[in-house]
Amino acid sequence: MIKSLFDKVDLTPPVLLVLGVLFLLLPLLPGEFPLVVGTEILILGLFALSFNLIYGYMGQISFGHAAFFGLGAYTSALILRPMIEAGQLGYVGFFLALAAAVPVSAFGALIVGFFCVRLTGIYFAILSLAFGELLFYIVFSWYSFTKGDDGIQGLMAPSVLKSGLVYYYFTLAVVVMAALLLWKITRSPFGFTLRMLRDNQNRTAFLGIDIRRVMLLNFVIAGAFAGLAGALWGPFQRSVSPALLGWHQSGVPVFMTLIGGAAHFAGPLVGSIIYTALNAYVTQFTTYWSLTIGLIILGMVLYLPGGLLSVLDGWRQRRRKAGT
Amino acid sequence: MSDQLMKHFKGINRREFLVTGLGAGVVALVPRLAFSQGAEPYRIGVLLPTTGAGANYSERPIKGLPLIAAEINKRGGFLGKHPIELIFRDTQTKPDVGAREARSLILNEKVKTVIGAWSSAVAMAVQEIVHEYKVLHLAATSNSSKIVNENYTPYTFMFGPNSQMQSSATVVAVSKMIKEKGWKNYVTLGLDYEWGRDAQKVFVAELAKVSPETKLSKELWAKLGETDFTSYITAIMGLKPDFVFGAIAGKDNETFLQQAKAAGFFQRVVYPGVFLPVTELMQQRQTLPRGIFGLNRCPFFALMDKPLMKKYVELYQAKFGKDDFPDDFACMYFDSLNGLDQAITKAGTIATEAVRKAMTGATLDTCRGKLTFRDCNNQLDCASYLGEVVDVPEYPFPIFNPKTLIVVEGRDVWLPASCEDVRKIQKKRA
Repeated sequence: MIKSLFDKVDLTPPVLLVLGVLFLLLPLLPGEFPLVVGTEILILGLFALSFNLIYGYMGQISFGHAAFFGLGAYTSALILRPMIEAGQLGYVGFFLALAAAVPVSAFGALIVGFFCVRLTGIYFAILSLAFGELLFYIVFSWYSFTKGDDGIQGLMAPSVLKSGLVYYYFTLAVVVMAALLLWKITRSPFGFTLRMLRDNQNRTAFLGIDIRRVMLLNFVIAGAFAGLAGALWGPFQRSVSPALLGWHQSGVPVFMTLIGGAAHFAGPLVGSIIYTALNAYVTQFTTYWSLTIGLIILGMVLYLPGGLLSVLDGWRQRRRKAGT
Repeated sequence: MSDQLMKHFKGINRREFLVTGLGAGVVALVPRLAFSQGAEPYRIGVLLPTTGAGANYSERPIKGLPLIAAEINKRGGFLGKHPIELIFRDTQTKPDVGAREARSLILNEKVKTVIGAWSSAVAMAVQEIVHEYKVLHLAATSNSSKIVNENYTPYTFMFGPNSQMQSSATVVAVSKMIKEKGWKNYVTLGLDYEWGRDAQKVFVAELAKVSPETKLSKELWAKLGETDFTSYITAIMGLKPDFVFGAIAGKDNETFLQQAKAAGFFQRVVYPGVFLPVTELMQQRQTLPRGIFGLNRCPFFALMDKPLMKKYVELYQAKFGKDDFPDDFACMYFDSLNGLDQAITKAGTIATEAVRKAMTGATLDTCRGKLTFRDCNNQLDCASYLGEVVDVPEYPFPIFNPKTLIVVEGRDVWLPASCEDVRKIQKKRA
């Protein structure tokens, strides 16, 4: 049964073991900084998992996915900030602020997706980039509502959740639940329909499936989960800024997915571990962090185009062959 | 990254930069090694962008700060027994990266003070982290007035004139010119985002108070990152205003100045108050229109009579050659580190709370003379410098005309004017 579960989750036992041990025991590492990095890995990992619904499962690349991450971050920030200023932030208000980010981001994705899913390939990518930049400029310029380029500061979680350790485990719980939901979606008939239209849109349409509708629904789901990740970001970083919606931020899940492997459900999460940890620790030793990241991605594209987890595919195939 | 950095650092070639970078690294590293057997070192995190929009202004602070640290370390460091260790981090000009690097510096490197960053958005993100961990923050470059007003924390100290002070200083200079020249109308051209809108708003409101007879004919707004200012330039020239107030900064400012110069704009329209740090005066030495009226935060050429400025320029040039000069940003970083030294000496300890209290309301000896912190918001009472861009034989780039230089003192223009009003707008912190 466990073997069957591993196959379904698309994780080999060593990967699951490593991830589980890593995330559960990470707080045992000395100092507070590993908790900061761990929380960032989880939040950006969820962001990348949501992106992979569009890239890995639907076969389209979005360069504007950060717009929904940012929408989620700003929704929770705009709700939290007045409560914090009034000294009335409680758990109910905090959880409502996080929850509100999901429908707002989903609604944003519905509007953007309505136009994007009419196109495919490079046109889809460019249109998603254009909408992403449009939302970025709205947040950047609408000072009276979003505080413009200054961003919103002073975001906090209520009492117990303020602790780095508690917020880490809270984030871990939210991300695990969200990842399970995403996994269920990818394993549902809807998820297999996505794979089908990724592989052959014409054939999918001939089967009577409304491909635009399926793509739009997937775009909205991906946006909603990106919004949830964004909502977790503000209380973690204590601030949000328009950069969260920008194209640089949209590149983050792309890199993570390429590093981890788009063909694997857990690929973006593995990518998040590598990318975020490198960003956090390489900068301590060199200012040439971007060169380091660039070299890693170059190496991945040249020698491991399927991402890090594709190594396990080869290993699994060899084991199967050895078994037969 | 190095190529990108080189592109930004126009005044220095690749070999010089590598040598300088290595030199700065060695200078910063040597104290760490040399004093590791002695008393507790004093670690300072320096948050500056070496990538992104702000990288252009990081070169000279990165080169200069280790020189000041080495000077202090010659006498054993702070209090003669706490050698300075500088730890540089790249903020990438991104608020979330700035916040993460600030956390990393505080939690991993155990820094007691963070100096930086460039871009107010980054500084405000960093401010949340330093407040939480109760670490000193010396805001040497970023200058949104929110840093000392709305977002005030007792741990942050601002070493340059804030954005509102700069706009108000321009008003002082312009009102003087209005009286001399009898100007009746003007046009504003701003970048359509918060800083541009805020700077324009403060200028228009303050000018209306001191010169109500001078009317605003038209407000023009260009998008951030505008590459073609032709339509704005043509429109302004068509309106024939007596002068134009520009709230344009950074790369957009450079683009506007080049295009306006090519169109003969400056022969027809007076353009006072454009932000022209020494960095721009040096980098745009060939193309910068002469005769325009610029604003500067810490121009070494106007302050060579101050002993500290003279000493630091000599120190800087001894290391980097006679053709290189510290810019406004390097000057404010010098003052930050030197000011910290004075506060620690006054406190007699490196304990953060004691140093913070010693720095609050303190009078410091700086490159700009003796300056005092406003005790209700930690804003340094420092001047803005406005002048006409002219060529002089002493320097290989244009400077502000020393004969007509206008110096607007901080206390004359800071807003709100009373500490009671400052406290009203300072938000409650969790």
